[in-house]
Amino acid sequence: MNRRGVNVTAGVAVVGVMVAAPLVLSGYQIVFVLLTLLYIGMAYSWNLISGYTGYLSFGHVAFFGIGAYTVGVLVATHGWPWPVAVLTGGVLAAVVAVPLGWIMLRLRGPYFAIGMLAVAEGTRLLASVWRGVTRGGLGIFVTTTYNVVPVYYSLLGLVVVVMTLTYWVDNSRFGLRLLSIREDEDAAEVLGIDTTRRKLTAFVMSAAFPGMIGGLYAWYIGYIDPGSVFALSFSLNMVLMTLLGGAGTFLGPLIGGASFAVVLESLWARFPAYHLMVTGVAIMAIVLFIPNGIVAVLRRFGLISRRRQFASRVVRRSQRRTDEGPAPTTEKSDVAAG
Amino acid sequence: MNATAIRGFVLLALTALLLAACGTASPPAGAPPDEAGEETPEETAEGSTEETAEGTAEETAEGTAASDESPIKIGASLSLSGDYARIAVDQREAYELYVAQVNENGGLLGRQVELVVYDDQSTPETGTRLYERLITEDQVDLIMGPYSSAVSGAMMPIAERYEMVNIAPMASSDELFQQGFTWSFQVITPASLYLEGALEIMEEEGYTTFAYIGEDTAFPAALMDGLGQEAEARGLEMVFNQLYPKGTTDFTSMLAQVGAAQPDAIFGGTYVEDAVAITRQMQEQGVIADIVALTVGAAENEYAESVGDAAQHIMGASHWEPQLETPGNPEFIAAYQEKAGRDPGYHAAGSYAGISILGMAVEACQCLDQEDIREEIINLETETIFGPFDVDETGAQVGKTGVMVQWFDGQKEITWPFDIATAEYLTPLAGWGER
Amino acid sequence: MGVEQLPQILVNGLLLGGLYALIAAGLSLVFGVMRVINFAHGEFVMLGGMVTYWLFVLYDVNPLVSFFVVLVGGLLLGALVQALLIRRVVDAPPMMSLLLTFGMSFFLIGLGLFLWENISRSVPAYGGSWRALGVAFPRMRMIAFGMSALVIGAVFAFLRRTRLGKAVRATAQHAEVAMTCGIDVARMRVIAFAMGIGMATSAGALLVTISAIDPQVGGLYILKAFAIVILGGLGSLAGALVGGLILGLTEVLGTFYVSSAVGQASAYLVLLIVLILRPGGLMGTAEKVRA
Repeated sequence: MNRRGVNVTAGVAVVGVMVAAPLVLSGYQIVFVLLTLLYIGMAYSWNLISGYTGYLSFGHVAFFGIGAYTVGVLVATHGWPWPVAVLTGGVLAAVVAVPLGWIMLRLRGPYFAIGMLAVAEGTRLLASVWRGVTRGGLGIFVTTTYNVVPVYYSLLGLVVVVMTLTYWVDNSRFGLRLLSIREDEDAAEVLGIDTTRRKLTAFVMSAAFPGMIGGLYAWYIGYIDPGSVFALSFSLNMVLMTLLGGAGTFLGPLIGGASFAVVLESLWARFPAYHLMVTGVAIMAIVLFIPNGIVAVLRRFGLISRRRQFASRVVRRSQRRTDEGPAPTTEKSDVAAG
Repeated sequence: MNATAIRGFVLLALTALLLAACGTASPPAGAPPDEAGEETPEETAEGSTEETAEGTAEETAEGTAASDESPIKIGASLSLSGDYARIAVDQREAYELYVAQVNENGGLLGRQVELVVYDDQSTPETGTRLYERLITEDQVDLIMGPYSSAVSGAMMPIAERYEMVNIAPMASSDELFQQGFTWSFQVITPASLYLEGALEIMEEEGYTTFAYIGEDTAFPAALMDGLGQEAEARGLEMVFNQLYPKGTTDFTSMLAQVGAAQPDAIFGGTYVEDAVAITRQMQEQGVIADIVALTVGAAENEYAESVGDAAQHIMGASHWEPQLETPGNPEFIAAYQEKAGRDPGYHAAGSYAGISILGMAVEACQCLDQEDIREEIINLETETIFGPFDVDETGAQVGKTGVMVQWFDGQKEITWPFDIATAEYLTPLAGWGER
Repeated sequence: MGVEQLPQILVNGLLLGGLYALIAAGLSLVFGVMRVINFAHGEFVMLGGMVTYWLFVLYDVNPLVSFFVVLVGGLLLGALVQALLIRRVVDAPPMMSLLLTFGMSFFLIGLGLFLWENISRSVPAYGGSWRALGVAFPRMRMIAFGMSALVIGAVFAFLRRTRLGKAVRATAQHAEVAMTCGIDVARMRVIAFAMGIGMATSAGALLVTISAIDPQVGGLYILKAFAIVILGGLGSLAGALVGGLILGLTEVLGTFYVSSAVGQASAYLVLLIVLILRPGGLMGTAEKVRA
């Protein structure tokens, strides 16, 4: 089997294990994996925009909240079936992300980060204030049934999709362009890359998933209010897991998410009061000592191939095309990005 | 990717999965708790395998059936860290006190009681995970509810699913008990009725208008709705109302609006820090009314300590005060003081009452069958240290009313219900600096 | 909704704004000199307030005295944090300093919750108000405003009049050129960060007398501080002052004429509007802000 075949087989095997898991795991273990999948899904979404383009969004929980409230309102008030409501949540989040991204992505670095934070807080306030729809502080009772297994499989499905998307991004010209934005946006623009379009695409993609995940969260948890769905912990976990694993990589959020969940599970039981402190120290330590995450460490030890192979594959492909005859590409970046 | 890498990757993924599953497996049932009454089970991130977990489950199931010597486990998830940490600590102390007392007196059904308490960090998803753990992993015999409305709302479906009796001592939101849950029970007065006493006083004195400001969270919002309905019923008028976002510290503009409306009474749906800030700012801005009642915030000792003289004649809505002559109250207070080293507040009292009700029901039916215990609780009509207890079929509390207090020279007096009042209420309030 | 109350509202807004300005000024200074946005700035405000509270409760120390104590403490703490942590990410991509201070913020919140629990603390200082022209001037807020102005003024004077201050400004303008002029840029950064934190902690000392603080209160103030510095221009002290006053006014007016939610949201609205329309702020440098 060639390399690709082995990759795919491994991936399918893991997914297979995850699908079969609810049959053997206890109630608690299923919930634990469910929540881990939730966080990993969020991490992958954050990775799409912040990992690849370097535009740190500290307000991505806004999309999560939008999704959660969409489901809350559609299901509780209008009796929609939950899968449709969840998808609607994702669509709504993506739709909101278009004008929002168009405005916010003009800002660089810290301005964007702070701006997104303000957006998240503003959305939370909106949820509180728009009492006619969201019932404000009273919250919404979404469901009285305990829906674990359907949510588990839905989240699993979402995570597979977002991972596949990430894999595609990671191995495509699009991904390389995003990375070039992260490295030096001005240089990328000089080379002719339409950074606005690329950033916006990544941003909208990164908003759709939290929208759906938020919707699934609402269906699982049964009761939502502005405080709980716009909670800080979601933003924190997204950032930490991606950083820990390696921002802007395919496996980063998975590795970061899984290891963080396991560590937190053992720590939290022993040291409940310390978890915020430990999380803070963890972020600082990662930034200072392994800023490129675990994936970078694994790469150094040869467990994961280095990027160059993917990049060179793309370059070889485009060079082949150039050799075969002009299918003129309008962007010079194809060659330059190699 | 080369073959080594593939193997590494697959190994990594499977290890991660295994670790995740193993890391959540609980230790064998034989492991003793760290302290009597408090248990944070040791997590082994590696080591215990899935086989052990399954084996444990079997052991425990057989164990409980066969032996009468194993302890009865009561599990709960409390907000020991995070937003509601301070209050939840009182709750835990109360539970521990009850369990210690019961064990001294021979236990429940002749068996010792063991308390298993986890910290849900005041987040709903952690709360659900923990109740799932308590029920399916730790195999507790009984559960007690969590603290906040959000966590309660999230775990009530779990109680329904596993058909376990769920007494939630501090859950006050009316809506929690309007969702059709049949396994959850309320101990405290519903939020909408918190200021019933104040409204009665208003009627007595012939006042007609009031203003209400509250935090935009579950209980103050529910209270506002309740006030709206009660006002209509009693022929009173809510001339101004507003909910402010959680975290607001500057109330001056809102108070200016309140002052402009010139109400007979000013009501606040406030916890203690807001009550303190509002009182101070009312004083600064010179806003006053004939009655000022700031629900639970103004009923706490901390309030009077913080605002000093400004507390004079301010009313608060409480659920329980040490002076109440409820059965066993003085003994409870003394025992709590000895255990916790401080005076109990109503959270401690209510939690103690809640877990006592559970114990009462268990003893009454002489069993651990959830259906039977539930029947007992529905039919129970009694009085605890906290006051009357009587629930309807939805689980909502219908027997207990709140208690209105008023500050006189740094002392809190009960002014309503009139038949248990320790002092007569005083209206109208004189101006700031004149009291 | 009348106009009779307007003077009172305006006074409230200005007094509030003066305190916000102090918090924002520290943030602005640090950014101006080091191009670092300290996400943990709000937590230092909280620390200052907490220390003031405990000094009052345990040792009966007057908060106005504590003000100077935490000011000095903040200077020392800031220098320490800069030397140990911030220094390492100053020259790294901005992502790093953002994330580092993000982590520091959570560490400090956790520390606060661990040490002091999630209880709101406040120090009852001089109550009551002075009255003039039918408007109440709350005593403690007036004092806080005054102290805040004092500190901002002192920092201003330091930066403009002293040699050291000029060296700091030079570093802010262009660190490399300053180095070639013989300025010890590293030391300037320590000084700037220390001053920034000192301003934060002293603001906390004032805050605890006016309203309550708990370990998680930092998040609220950091967003307001951001709104102010972006409004006034990152790096501009005068901008922070003006921005602070504007935000204070916007908040109280918004609450009074619309609702308190709008008042709270005004910080975010101001932030977003400024970011979109004029990211350089009212008085800030034409910074490379836009893509």
